[in-house]
Amino acid sequence: MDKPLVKIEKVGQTFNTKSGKFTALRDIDLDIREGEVVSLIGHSGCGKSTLLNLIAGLTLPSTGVLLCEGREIPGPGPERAVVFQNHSLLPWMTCFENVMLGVEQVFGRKEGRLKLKARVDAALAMVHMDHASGKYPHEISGGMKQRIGIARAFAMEPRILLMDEPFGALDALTRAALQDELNGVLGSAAVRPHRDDDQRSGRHHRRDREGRAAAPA
Amino acid sequence: MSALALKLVEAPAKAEPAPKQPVAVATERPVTIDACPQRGIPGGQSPSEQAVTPPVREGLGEGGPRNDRFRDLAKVIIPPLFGIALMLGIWALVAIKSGNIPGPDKTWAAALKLFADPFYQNGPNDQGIGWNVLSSLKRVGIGFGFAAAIGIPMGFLLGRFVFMSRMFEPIISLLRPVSPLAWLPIGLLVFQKADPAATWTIFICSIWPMILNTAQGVQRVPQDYLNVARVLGLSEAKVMTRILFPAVLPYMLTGIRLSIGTAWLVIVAAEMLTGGVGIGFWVWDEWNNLKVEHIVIAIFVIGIVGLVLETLLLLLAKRFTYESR
Ligand SMILES: Nc1ncnc2c1ncn2[C@@H]1O[C@H](COP(=O)(O)OP(=O)(O)OP(=O)(O)O)[C@@H](O)[C@H]1O
Ligand SMILES: [Mg+2]
Repeated sequence: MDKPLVKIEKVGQTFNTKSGKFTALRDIDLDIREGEVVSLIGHSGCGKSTLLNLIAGLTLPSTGVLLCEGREIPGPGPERAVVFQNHSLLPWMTCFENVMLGVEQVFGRKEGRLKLKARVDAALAMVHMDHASGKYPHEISGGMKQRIGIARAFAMEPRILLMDEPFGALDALTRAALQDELNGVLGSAAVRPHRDDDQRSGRHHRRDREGRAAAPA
Repeated sequence: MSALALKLVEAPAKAEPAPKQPVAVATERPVTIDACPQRGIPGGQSPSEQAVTPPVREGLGEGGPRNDRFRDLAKVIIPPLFGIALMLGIWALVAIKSGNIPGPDKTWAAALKLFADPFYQNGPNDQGIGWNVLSSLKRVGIGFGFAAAIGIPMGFLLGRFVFMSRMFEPIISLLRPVSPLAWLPIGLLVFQKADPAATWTIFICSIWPMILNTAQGVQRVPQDYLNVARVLGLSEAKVMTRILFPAVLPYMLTGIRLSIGTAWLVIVAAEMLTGGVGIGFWVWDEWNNLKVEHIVIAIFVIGIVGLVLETLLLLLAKRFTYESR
Protein backbone atom coordinates (compact mmCIF):
# COMPACT_ATOMS: atom_id res chain seq x y z
CA MET A 1 0.00 0.00 0.00
CA ASP A 2 2.69 2.39 0.95
CA LYS A 3 5.01 1.42 -1.85
CA PRO A 4 5.05 4.22 -4.40
CA LEU A 5 3.53 3.57 -7.79
CA VAL A 6 6.20 5.63 -9.46
CA LYS A 7 9.58 6.21 -7.93
CA ILE A 8 11.98 8.70 -9.41
CA GLU A 9 15.53 8.51 -8.13
CA LYS A 10 18.29 11.00 -8.85
CA VAL A 11 17.04 11.52 -12.35
CA GLY A 12 18.85 13.91 -14.63
CA GLN A 13 18.30 14.73 -18.26
CA THR A 14 20.79 16.42 -20.54
CA PHE A 15 20.17 17.31 -24.16
CA ASN A 16 22.84 17.58 -26.79
CA THR A 17 22.32 20.90 -28.46
CA LYS A 18 24.34 22.80 -31.02
CA SER A 19 25.86 24.91 -28.27
CA GLY A 20 26.90 21.89 -26.22
CA LYS A 21 25.23 19.91 -23.48
CA PHE A 22 22.18 21.38 -21.85
CA THR A 23 21.07 20.11 -18.46
CA ALA A 24 17.31 20.25 -18.27
CA LEU A 25 16.88 18.18 -15.12
CA ARG A 26 19.27 17.37 -12.29
CA ASP A 27 18.85 15.14 -9.24
CA ILE A 28 15.11 14.78 -9.29
CA ASP A 29 13.63 12.61 -6.55
CA LEU A 30 9.92 12.05 -6.41
CA ASP A 31 7.54 9.35 -5.23
CA ILE A 32 4.01 9.13 -6.54
CA ARG A 33 1.63 6.91 -4.62
CA GLU A 34 -1.50 5.21 -5.82
CA GLY A 35 -4.43 7.59 -5.96
CA GLU A 36 -2.34 10.66 -5.46
CA VAL A 37 -2.63 13.81 -7.51
CA VAL A 38 0.71 15.48 -8.00
CA SER A 39 1.32 18.62 -9.92
CA LEU A 40 4.59 19.95 -11.16
CA ILE A 41 4.91 23.68 -10.92
CA GLY A 42 7.60 25.82 -12.41
CA HIS A 43 8.56 28.47 -14.89
CA SER A 44 8.20 27.88 -18.54
CA GLY A 45 11.15 25.85 -19.75
CA CYS A 46 12.13 24.53 -16.32
CA GLY A 47 11.66 20.93 -17.39
CA LYS A 48 8.11 19.93 -16.52
CA SER A 49 7.40 18.37 -19.88
CA THR A 50 10.81 16.74 -19.82
CA LEU A 51 10.03 15.01 -16.54
CA LEU A 52 6.60 13.99 -17.73
CA ASN A 53 8.04 12.50 -20.90
CA LEU A 54 10.45 10.53 -18.75
CA ILE A 55 7.63 9.10 -16.63
CA ALA A 56 5.69 8.34 -19.79
CA GLY A 57 8.75 6.56 -21.12
CA LEU A 58 8.81 8.62 -24.28
CA THR A 59 12.39 9.54 -23.43
CA LEU A 60 14.94 7.80 -21.26
CA PRO A 61 16.88 9.61 -18.53
CA SER A 62 20.55 10.51 -18.90
CA THR A 63 21.20 9.63 -15.28
CA GLY A 64 19.23 8.06 -12.46
CA VAL A 65 16.30 5.66 -12.66
CA LEU A 66 12.54 5.82 -12.92
CA LEU A 67 10.61 2.90 -11.48
CA CYS A 68 6.98 2.04 -12.06
CA GLU A 69 5.62 -0.61 -9.70
CA GLY A 70 9.17 -1.53 -8.83
CA ARG A 71 10.35 -2.05 -12.38
CA GLU A 72 12.46 0.30 -14.42
CA ILE A 73 10.46 2.15 -17.06
CA PRO A 74 11.71 0.80 -20.38
CA GLY A 75 9.46 2.82 -22.65
CA PRO A 76 5.90 3.99 -23.02
CA GLY A 77 3.11 1.71 -21.92
CA PRO A 78 -0.66 1.82 -21.68
CA GLU A 79 -0.52 1.71 -17.87
CA ARG A 80 0.88 5.24 -18.05
CA ALA A 81 -1.58 7.11 -20.23
CA VAL A 82 -0.72 10.59 -21.46
CA VAL A 83 -3.01 13.50 -22.23
CA PHE A 84 -0.97 15.59 -24.59
CA GLN A 85 -0.73 19.33 -24.48
CA ASN A 86 -1.99 19.68 -28.05
CA HIS A 87 -4.61 16.92 -27.87
CA SER A 88 -2.86 14.86 -30.57
CA LEU A 89 -6.00 13.25 -31.89
CA LEU A 90 -5.55 11.49 -35.19
CA PRO A 91 -7.34 13.66 -37.74
CA TRP A 92 -8.38 10.79 -40.02
CA MET A 93 -10.34 9.05 -37.29
CA THR A 94 -13.61 10.02 -35.69
CA CYS A 95 -13.68 10.77 -31.98
CA PHE A 96 -15.03 7.30 -31.38
CA GLU A 97 -12.25 5.67 -33.38
CA ASN A 98 -9.62 7.75 -31.64
CA VAL A 99 -10.74 6.50 -28.26
CA MET A 100 -11.25 3.00 -29.62
CA LEU A 101 -7.66 2.82 -30.83
CA GLY A 102 -6.38 2.75 -27.26
CA VAL A 103 -9.20 0.64 -25.87
CA GLU A 104 -8.68 -1.97 -28.55
CA GLN A 105 -5.01 -2.16 -27.77
CA VAL A 106 -5.51 -2.65 -24.04
CA PHE A 107 -8.65 -4.78 -23.90
CA GLY A 108 -8.97 -6.10 -27.45
CA ARG A 109 -7.53 -9.48 -26.65
CA LYS A 110 -9.79 -10.27 -23.72
CA GLU A 111 -13.07 -8.66 -24.64
CA GLY A 112 -15.59 -8.78 -27.46
CA ARG A 113 -16.46 -6.01 -29.84
CA LEU A 114 -19.58 -4.98 -27.94
CA LYS A 115 -17.78 -4.66 -24.67
CA LEU A 116 -15.05 -2.55 -26.25
CA LYS A 117 -17.68 -0.31 -27.77
CA ALA A 118 -19.36 0.05 -24.41
CA ARG A 119 -16.05 1.11 -22.90
CA VAL A 120 -15.55 3.78 -25.54
CA ASP A 121 -19.10 5.04 -25.17
CA ALA A 122 -18.69 5.21 -21.42
CA ALA A 123 -15.46 7.18 -21.73
CA LEU A 124 -17.04 9.61 -24.17
CA ALA A 125 -20.07 10.03 -21.94
CA MET A 126 -17.78 10.71 -19.01
CA VAL A 127 -16.40 13.80 -20.70
CA HIS A 128 -19.85 14.69 -22.08
CA MET A 129 -18.79 14.10 -25.64
CA ASP A 130 -21.06 11.18 -26.51
CA HIS A 131 -22.94 13.45 -28.91
CA ALA A 132 -19.82 13.95 -31.01
CA SER A 133 -18.60 10.38 -31.25
CA GLY A 134 -19.05 10.29 -35.03
CA LYS A 135 -17.36 13.62 -35.64
CA TYR A 136 -13.83 14.17 -36.85
CA PRO A 137 -11.40 16.19 -34.74
CA HIS A 138 -11.46 19.14 -37.13
CA GLU A 139 -15.22 19.38 -36.65
CA ILE A 140 -15.05 20.03 -32.92
CA SER A 141 -13.61 22.83 -30.83
CA GLY A 142 -10.26 22.88 -29.07
CA GLY A 143 -11.77 22.20 -25.67
CA MET A 144 -13.78 19.32 -27.08
CA LYS A 145 -10.62 17.85 -28.56
CA GLN A 146 -8.95 17.99 -25.18
CA ARG A 147 -11.91 16.19 -23.68
CA ILE A 148 -11.62 13.45 -26.28
CA GLY A 149 -7.93 13.23 -25.44
CA ILE A 150 -8.81 12.80 -21.78
CA ALA A 151 -11.42 10.19 -22.68
CA ARG A 152 -8.86 8.31 -24.74
CA ALA A 153 -6.42 8.26 -21.85
CA PHE A 154 -9.06 7.34 -19.29
CA ALA A 155 -10.62 4.58 -21.34
CA MET A 156 -7.37 2.67 -21.20
CA GLU A 157 -7.75 2.43 -17.42
CA PRO A 158 -4.17 3.43 -16.77
CA ARG A 159 -2.47 3.12 -13.38
CA ILE A 160 -1.33 6.68 -13.75
CA LEU A 161 -2.61 9.52 -15.86
CA LEU A 162 -0.01 11.98 -17.08
CA MET A 163 -1.31 15.33 -18.22
CA ASP A 164 0.98 17.90 -19.74
CA GLU A 165 -0.83 21.18 -19.41
CA PRO A 166 -3.87 19.62 -21.02
CA PHE A 167 -5.66 22.94 -20.99
CA GLY A 168 -2.69 25.14 -21.79
CA ALA A 169 -3.88 26.03 -25.26
CA LEU A 170 -7.39 26.96 -24.20
CA ASP A 171 -8.96 30.23 -23.20
CA ALA A 172 -9.57 30.93 -19.55
CA LEU A 173 -13.31 30.19 -19.65
CA THR A 174 -13.01 26.81 -21.31
CA ARG A 175 -10.10 25.98 -19.09
CA ALA A 176 -12.08 26.67 -15.93
CA ALA A 177 -15.00 24.61 -17.19
CA LEU A 178 -12.79 21.70 -18.19
CA GLN A 179 -10.90 21.72 -14.93
CA ASP A 180 -14.22 21.50 -13.21
CA GLU A 181 -15.19 18.63 -15.37
CA LEU A 182 -11.90 16.84 -14.89
CA ASN A 183 -12.35 17.17 -11.17
CA GLY A 184 -15.67 15.43 -11.46
CA VAL A 185 -14.16 12.76 -13.63
CA LEU A 186 -11.31 12.12 -11.23
CA GLY A 187 -13.88 11.81 -8.49
CA SER A 188 -15.92 9.32 -10.42
CA ALA A 189 -12.85 7.26 -11.12
CA ALA A 190 -12.10 7.14 -7.45
CA VAL A 191 -15.40 5.51 -6.57
CA ARG A 192 -15.12 2.78 -9.15
CA PRO A 193 -15.15 -0.60 -7.44
CA HIS A 194 -11.66 -1.81 -8.21
CA ARG A 195 -10.22 1.53 -7.36
CA ASP A 196 -11.90 2.20 -4.10
CA ASP A 197 -8.53 2.30 -2.44
CA ASP A 198 -8.00 5.51 -4.38
CA GLN A 199 -7.64 8.51 -2.22
CA ARG A 200 -6.78 11.46 -4.30
CA SER A 201 -5.08 14.17 -2.42
CA GLY A 202 -3.50 17.11 -4.04
CA ARG A 203 0.18 17.16 -3.45
CA HIS A 204 2.44 19.33 -5.41
CA HIS A 205 6.04 19.37 -6.01
CA ARG A 206 8.00 22.49 -6.53
CA ARG A 207 11.05 22.86 -8.64
CA ASP A 208 13.32 25.78 -9.04
CA ARG A 209 14.54 27.26 -12.25
CA GLU A 210 17.75 25.25 -12.38
CA GLY A 211 15.76 22.08 -12.56
CA ARG A 212 16.67 21.00 -9.05
CA ALA A 213 13.86 19.45 -7.11
CA ALA A 214 12.90 21.29 -3.99
CA ALA A 215 11.15 19.71 -1.05
CA PRO A 216 7.52 18.91 -1.75
CA ALA A 217 5.35 21.61 -0.33
CA MET B 1 -1.54 25.06 -16.54
CA SER B 2 1.24 23.58 -14.61
CA ALA B 3 -0.41 23.75 -11.23
CA LEU B 4 -3.08 21.46 -12.41
CA ALA B 5 -4.02 19.75 -9.19
CA LEU B 6 -3.77 22.93 -7.24
CA LYS B 7 -6.09 24.65 -9.65
CA LEU B 8 -8.31 21.65 -9.74
CA VAL B 9 -8.87 21.84 -6.06
CA GLU B 10 -9.67 25.49 -6.29
CA ALA B 11 -11.56 25.36 -9.50
CA PRO B 12 -15.08 24.45 -8.36
CA ALA B 13 -15.34 27.26 -5.89
CA LYS B 14 -13.83 29.87 -8.11
CA ALA B 15 -15.12 28.89 -11.51
CA GLU B 16 -18.71 28.02 -10.73
CA PRO B 17 -20.28 31.46 -10.80
CA ALA B 18 -17.99 32.89 -13.42
CA PRO B 19 -18.75 30.94 -16.64
CA LYS B 20 -22.50 31.54 -16.71
CA GLN B 21 -22.49 35.13 -17.80
CA PRO B 22 -19.43 35.55 -20.00
CA VAL B 23 -20.26 32.36 -21.90
CA ALA B 24 -23.50 33.87 -23.05
CA VAL B 25 -21.64 36.88 -24.41
CA ALA B 26 -19.13 34.69 -26.18
CA THR B 27 -21.78 32.78 -28.09
CA GLU B 28 -23.97 35.76 -28.84
CA ARG B 29 -21.27 37.94 -30.30
CA PRO B 30 -20.13 36.03 -33.37
CA VAL B 31 -23.60 36.22 -34.86
CA THR B 32 -23.36 39.95 -34.89
CA ILE B 33 -19.82 40.08 -36.16
CA ASP B 34 -20.33 37.38 -38.74
CA ALA B 35 -23.32 38.91 -40.38
CA CYS B 36 -22.03 42.23 -41.66
CA PRO B 37 -18.87 41.59 -43.67
CA GLN B 38 -20.21 38.60 -45.53
CA ARG B 39 -23.14 40.27 -47.18
CA GLY B 40 -21.53 43.64 -47.49
CA ILE B 41 -24.45 45.46 -45.97
CA PRO B 42 -24.32 49.11 -46.95
CA GLY B 43 -23.21 51.54 -44.27
CA GLY B 44 -26.15 53.43 -42.80
CA GLN B 45 -27.47 50.66 -40.57
CA SER B 46 -27.09 50.70 -36.85
CA PRO B 47 -25.37 47.80 -35.16
CA SER B 48 -28.62 46.47 -33.78
CA GLU B 49 -30.16 46.27 -37.24
CA GLN B 50 -27.11 44.45 -38.49
CA ALA B 51 -27.43 41.94 -35.74
CA VAL B 52 -30.88 41.02 -36.98
CA THR B 53 -29.70 40.62 -40.55
CA PRO B 54 -28.64 36.95 -40.75
CA PRO B 55 -32.12 35.47 -41.26
CA VAL B 56 -32.85 38.17 -43.83
CA ARG B 57 -29.85 36.93 -45.76
CA GLU B 58 -31.84 33.92 -47.00
CA GLY B 59 -34.94 35.99 -47.64
CA LEU B 60 -33.06 38.40 -49.87
CA GLY B 61 -31.94 35.45 -51.98
CA GLU B 62 -34.24 36.38 -54.90
CA GLY B 63 -32.78 39.65 -56.10
CA GLY B 64 -29.24 40.47 -54.98
CA PRO B 65 -27.48 37.14 -54.58
CA ARG B 66 -28.48 35.85 -57.99
CA ASN B 67 -26.91 38.90 -59.60
CA ASP B 68 -23.89 38.22 -57.45
CA ARG B 69 -23.74 34.65 -58.63
CA PHE B 70 -23.82 35.77 -62.24
CA ARG B 71 -21.07 38.21 -61.57
CA ASP B 72 -18.97 35.52 -59.87
CA LEU B 73 -19.57 33.16 -62.76
CA ALA B 74 -18.64 35.83 -65.26
CA LYS B 75 -15.46 36.52 -63.32
CA VAL B 76 -14.52 32.86 -63.59
CA ILE B 77 -15.46 32.38 -67.22
CA ILE B 78 -14.57 35.55 -69.03
CA PRO B 79 -10.77 35.64 -68.51
CA PRO B 80 -10.23 32.09 -69.82
CA LEU B 81 -12.39 32.94 -72.83
CA PHE B 82 -10.14 35.89 -73.52
CA GLY B 83 -7.12 33.62 -73.21
CA ILE B 84 -8.52 31.09 -75.63
CA ALA B 85 -9.49 33.81 -78.10
CA LEU B 86 -5.99 35.25 -77.89
CA MET B 87 -4.46 31.85 -78.55
CA LEU B 88 -6.73 31.21 -81.53
CA GLY B 89 -5.94 34.67 -82.89
CA ILE B 90 -2.18 34.19 -82.69
CA TRP B 91 -2.53 30.70 -84.15
CA ALA B 92 -4.59 31.96 -87.09
CA LEU B 93 -2.09 34.78 -87.68
CA VAL B 94 0.87 32.41 -87.65
CA ALA B 95 -1.01 30.04 -89.97
CA ILE B 96 -1.68 32.81 -92.48
CA LYS B 97 1.89 34.10 -92.36
CA SER B 98 3.64 30.74 -92.59
CA GLY B 99 1.41 29.13 -95.14
CA ASN B 100 2.14 25.49 -94.27
CA ILE B 101 0.77 25.46 -90.71
CA PRO B 102 -2.97 24.75 -90.74
CA GLY B 103 -5.14 27.42 -89.14
CA PRO B 104 -7.94 26.83 -86.63
CA ASP B 105 -10.57 26.46 -89.34
CA LYS B 106 -8.71 23.78 -91.28
CA THR B 107 -7.80 21.93 -88.11
CA TRP B 108 -11.39 22.02 -86.89
CA ALA B 109 -12.61 20.51 -90.14
CA ALA B 110 -9.96 17.78 -89.95
CA ALA B 111 -10.85 17.11 -86.32
CA LEU B 112 -14.52 16.66 -87.16
CA LYS B 113 -13.57 14.05 -89.74
CA LEU B 114 -11.09 12.37 -87.42
CA PHE B 115 -13.44 12.11 -84.46
CA ALA B 116 -16.32 10.90 -86.61
CA ASP B 117 -14.75 7.44 -86.34
CA PRO B 118 -12.05 7.39 -83.66
CA PHE B 119 -12.05 3.60 -83.32
CA TYR B 120 -11.52 2.27 -86.83
CA GLN B 121 -8.95 -0.41 -87.45
CA ASN B 122 -7.14 -0.92 -90.77
CA GLY B 123 -4.28 -3.19 -89.83
CA PRO B 124 -1.69 -2.58 -87.09
CA ASN B 125 -0.30 0.67 -88.48
CA ASP B 126 -3.52 2.44 -89.34
CA GLN B 127 -5.90 2.75 -86.42
CA GLY B 128 -8.26 5.40 -85.15
CA ILE B 129 -6.99 8.08 -82.79
CA GLY B 130 -9.04 6.55 -79.98
CA TRP B 131 -7.05 3.32 -80.14
CA ASN B 132 -3.81 5.24 -80.18
CA VAL B 133 -4.72 7.21 -77.08
CA LEU B 134 -5.95 4.09 -75.32
CA SER B 135 -2.82 2.09 -76.03
CA SER B 136 -0.67 4.96 -74.78
CA LEU B 137 -2.77 5.11 -71.64
CA LYS B 138 -2.41 1.38 -71.22
CA ARG B 139 1.38 1.63 -71.32
CA VAL B 140 1.33 4.49 -68.85
CA GLY B 141 -1.01 2.50 -66.61
CA ILE B 142 1.14 -0.63 -66.59
CA GLY B 143 4.48 1.14 -66.19
CA PHE B 144 3.01 3.34 -63.54
CA GLY B 145 1.40 0.42 -61.72
CA PHE B 146 4.73 -1.34 -61.41
CA ALA B 147 6.36 1.89 -60.29
CA ALA B 148 3.73 2.32 -57.57
CA ALA B 149 3.98 -1.29 -56.46
CA ILE B 150 7.73 -0.96 -55.97
CA GLY B 151 8.14 2.75 -55.28
CA ILE B 152 5.61 3.16 -52.48
CA PRO B 153 6.97 0.36 -50.26
CA MET B 154 10.48 1.60 -51.04
CA GLY B 155 9.43 5.07 -49.99
CA PHE B 156 8.12 3.72 -46.68
CA LEU B 157 11.40 1.92 -46.03
CA LEU B 158 13.47 4.94 -46.92
CA GLY B 159 11.35 7.19 -44.77
CA ARG B 160 11.28 4.86 -41.78
CA PHE B 161 14.89 3.70 -41.65
CA VAL B 162 17.75 6.16 -41.82
CA PHE B 163 20.08 3.40 -42.92
CA MET B 164 17.94 2.65 -45.95
CA SER B 165 17.64 6.28 -46.93
CA ARG B 166 21.41 6.80 -46.60
CA MET B 167 21.96 3.65 -48.62
CA PHE B 168 19.69 4.59 -51.49
CA GLU B 169 20.16 8.32 -51.52
CA PRO B 170 23.28 8.34 -53.72
CA ILE B 171 21.73 5.92 -56.20
CA ILE B 172 18.54 7.93 -56.49
CA SER B 173 20.33 11.27 -56.75
CA LEU B 174 22.48 9.86 -59.52
CA LEU B 175 19.71 8.25 -61.55
CA ARG B 176 16.86 10.67 -61.06
CA PRO B 177 18.13 13.46 -63.33
CA VAL B 178 18.68 11.02 -66.21
CA SER B 179 16.08 11.34 -68.95
CA PRO B 180 13.97 8.20 -68.93
CA LEU B 181 14.48 7.95 -72.70
CA ALA B 182 18.11 7.10 -72.06
CA TRP B 183 16.78 3.90 -70.53
CA LEU B 184 14.87 2.98 -73.66
CA PRO B 185 17.72 1.07 -75.35
CA ILE B 186 18.25 -0.94 -72.17
CA GLY B 187 14.56 -1.78 -72.21
CA LEU B 188 14.75 -2.80 -75.87
CA LEU B 189 17.77 -4.95 -75.13
CA VAL B 190 16.20 -6.68 -72.14
CA PHE B 191 12.65 -7.11 -73.42
CA GLN B 192 13.50 -7.53 -77.12
CA LYS B 193 10.22 -5.82 -77.99
CA ALA B 194 9.16 -2.23 -78.45
CA ASP B 195 6.02 -2.31 -76.37
CA PRO B 196 7.46 -3.39 -72.99
CA ALA B 197 10.45 -1.13 -73.64
CA ALA B 198 8.17 1.91 -73.78
CA THR B 199 6.42 0.72 -70.63
CA TRP B 200 9.84 0.34 -69.03
CA THR B 201 10.67 4.01 -69.62
CA ILE B 202 7.39 4.92 -67.96
CA PHE B 203 8.29 2.75 -65.01
CA ILE B 204 11.67 4.47 -64.71
CA CYS B 205 10.30 7.99 -64.84
CA SER B 206 7.42 7.27 -62.46
CA ILE B 207 9.33 5.56 -59.73
CA TRP B 208 11.45 8.50 -58.51
CA PRO B 209 8.67 10.90 -57.53
CA MET B 210 6.85 7.97 -55.95
CA ILE B 211 9.77 6.94 -53.76
CA LEU B 212 10.81 10.45 -52.82
CA ASN B 213 7.35 11.77 -51.98
CA THR B 214 6.39 8.73 -49.97
CA ALA B 215 9.67 8.86 -48.07
CA GLN B 216 9.18 12.54 -47.37
CA GLY B 217 5.65 11.88 -46.18
CA VAL B 218 6.87 9.23 -43.78
CA GLN B 219 9.57 11.51 -42.44
CA ARG B 220 7.07 14.29 -41.93
CA VAL B 221 4.58 12.31 -39.91
CA PRO B 222 4.22 14.53 -36.84
CA GLN B 223 6.12 13.21 -33.83
CA ASP B 224 2.90 13.69 -31.85
CA TYR B 225 1.16 10.94 -33.78
CA LEU B 226 4.08 8.60 -33.28
CA ASN B 227 4.10 9.44 -29.58
CA VAL B 228 0.42 8.57 -29.41
CA ALA B 229 1.23 5.26 -31.06
CA ARG B 230 3.97 4.59 -28.53
CA VAL B 231 1.87 5.49 -25.52
CA LEU B 232 -1.02 3.37 -26.72
CA GLY B 233 1.49 0.59 -27.36
CA LEU B 234 0.38 -0.04 -30.93
CA SER B 235 2.01 -2.90 -32.79
CA GLU B 236 4.23 -2.10 -35.76
CA ALA B 237 1.53 -3.38 -38.11
CA LYS B 238 -1.05 -1.11 -36.54
CA VAL B 239 1.33 1.84 -36.63
CA MET B 240 1.67 1.19 -40.35
CA THR B 241 -2.02 0.88 -41.17
CA ARG B 242 -3.63 3.23 -38.68
CA ILE B 243 -1.05 5.99 -38.34
CA LEU B 244 1.64 6.00 -41.00
CA PHE B 245 -0.48 5.11 -43.99
CA PRO B 246 -3.21 7.71 -43.47
CA ALA B 247 -0.65 10.35 -42.56
CA VAL B 248 1.44 9.61 -45.64
CA LEU B 249 -1.43 9.19 -48.08
CA PRO B 250 -1.58 12.87 -49.13
CA TYR B 251 2.16 12.85 -49.89
CA MET B 252 1.81 9.60 -51.76
CA LEU B 253 -0.95 11.05 -53.88
CA THR B 254 1.26 14.01 -54.70
CA GLY B 255 3.92 11.57 -55.84
CA ILE B 256 1.37 9.74 -57.95
CA ARG B 257 0.20 12.96 -59.53
CA LEU B 258 3.75 14.06 -60.39
CA SER B 259 4.54 10.60 -61.77
CA ILE B 260 1.50 10.44 -63.98
CA GLY B 261 2.28 13.91 -65.26
CA THR B 262 5.81 13.04 -66.32
CA ALA B 263 4.73 9.62 -67.55
CA TRP B 264 2.29 11.23 -69.91
CA LEU B 265 5.05 13.57 -71.12
CA VAL B 266 7.49 10.75 -71.64
CA ILE B 267 5.20 8.27 -73.35
CA VAL B 268 4.80 10.52 -76.39
CA ALA B 269 8.54 10.73 -76.90
CA ALA B 270 9.09 7.04 -76.18
CA GLU B 271 6.47 5.99 -78.71
CA MET B 272 7.97 8.22 -81.36
CA LEU B 273 11.11 6.15 -80.96
CA THR B 274 9.59 2.71 -80.61
CA GLY B 275 6.73 2.88 -83.11
CA GLY B 276 3.69 0.59 -82.88
CA VAL B 277 0.34 1.93 -81.77
CA GLY B 278 0.14 4.96 -79.55
CA ILE B 279 -0.42 8.68 -79.66
CA GLY B 280 3.30 9.45 -79.88
CA PHE B 281 3.76 7.11 -82.76
CA TRP B 282 0.66 8.52 -84.39
CA VAL B 283 2.13 12.02 -84.26
CA TRP B 284 5.27 10.79 -85.96
CA ASP B 285 3.28 8.85 -88.53
CA GLU B 286 1.19 11.89 -89.42
CA TRP B 287 4.38 13.91 -89.75
CA ASN B 288 5.62 11.37 -92.26
CA ASN B 289 2.27 11.66 -94.06
CA LEU B 290 2.63 15.44 -93.85
CA LYS B 291 -0.80 15.78 -92.26
CA VAL B 292 0.15 18.73 -90.11
CA GLU B 293 -3.41 19.44 -88.99
CA HIS B 294 -3.47 15.98 -87.41
CA ILE B 295 -0.35 16.83 -85.47
CA VAL B 296 -2.02 19.96 -84.14
CA ILE B 297 -5.04 17.86 -83.19
CA ALA B 298 -2.73 15.39 -81.45
CA ILE B 299 -1.24 18.23 -79.43
CA PHE B 300 -4.70 19.16 -78.21
CA VAL B 301 -5.63 15.56 -77.51
CA ILE B 302 -2.45 14.97 -75.51
CA GLY B 303 -3.06 18.17 -73.59
CA ILE B 304 -6.65 17.31 -72.80
CA VAL B 305 -5.86 13.76 -71.69
CA GLY B 306 -3.10 15.10 -69.46
CA LEU B 307 -5.50 17.65 -68.00
CA VAL B 308 -8.11 14.98 -67.33
CA LEU B 309 -5.58 12.71 -65.62
CA GLU B 310 -4.37 15.56 -63.46
CA THR B 311 -7.89 16.61 -62.51
CA LEU B 312 -8.96 13.09 -61.64
CA LEU B 313 -5.96 12.64 -59.39
CA LEU B 314 -6.53 16.01 -57.76
CA LEU B 315 -10.09 14.96 -56.98
CA LEU B 316 -8.80 11.68 -55.59
CA ALA B 317 -6.26 13.51 -53.46
CA LYS B 318 -8.94 15.82 -52.14
CA ARG B 319 -11.12 12.88 -51.26
CA PHE B 320 -8.37 11.23 -49.21
CA THR B 321 -6.75 14.23 -47.61
CA TYR B 322 -7.83 14.56 -44.04
CA GLU B 323 -8.53 17.93 -42.52
CA SER B 324 -5.57 18.58 -40.30
CA ARG B 325 -6.96 21.17 -37.96
N1 LIG C 1 14.86 17.83 -27.27
C1 LIG C 1 15.45 18.86 -26.64
N2 LIG C 1 16.67 19.28 -27.02
C2 LIG C 1 17.28 20.30 -26.38
N3 LIG C 1 16.75 20.97 -25.36
C3 LIG C 1 15.54 20.62 -24.93
C4 LIG C 1 14.81 19.55 -25.55
N4 LIG C 1 13.63 19.41 -24.91
C5 LIG C 1 13.61 20.34 -23.97
N5 LIG C 1 14.76 21.08 -23.96
C6 LIG C 1 15.07 22.14 -23.05
O1 LIG C 1 14.84 21.70 -21.76
C7 LIG C 1 14.22 22.68 -20.96
C8 LIG C 1 12.95 22.14 -20.36
O2 LIG C 1 11.97 21.96 -21.38
P1 LIG C 1 10.49 21.52 -21.04
O3 LIG C 1 9.80 21.35 -22.32
O4 LIG C 1 10.52 20.36 -20.14
O5 LIG C 1 9.93 22.80 -20.27
P2 LIG C 1 8.54 22.99 -19.56
O6 LIG C 1 8.81 23.11 -18.11
O7 LIG C 1 7.61 21.93 -19.97
O8 LIG C 1 8.09 24.39 -20.12
P3 LIG C 1 6.64 24.89 -20.54
O9 LIG C 1 5.93 25.27 -19.29
O10 LIG C 1 6.91 26.08 -21.39
O11 LIG C 1 5.99 23.79 -21.31
C9 LIG C 1 13.98 23.87 -21.88
O12 LIG C 1 14.95 24.84 -21.58
C10 LIG C 1 14.18 23.33 -23.25
O13 LIG C 1 14.82 24.30 -24.05
MG1 LIG D 1 5.89 21.88 -21.35
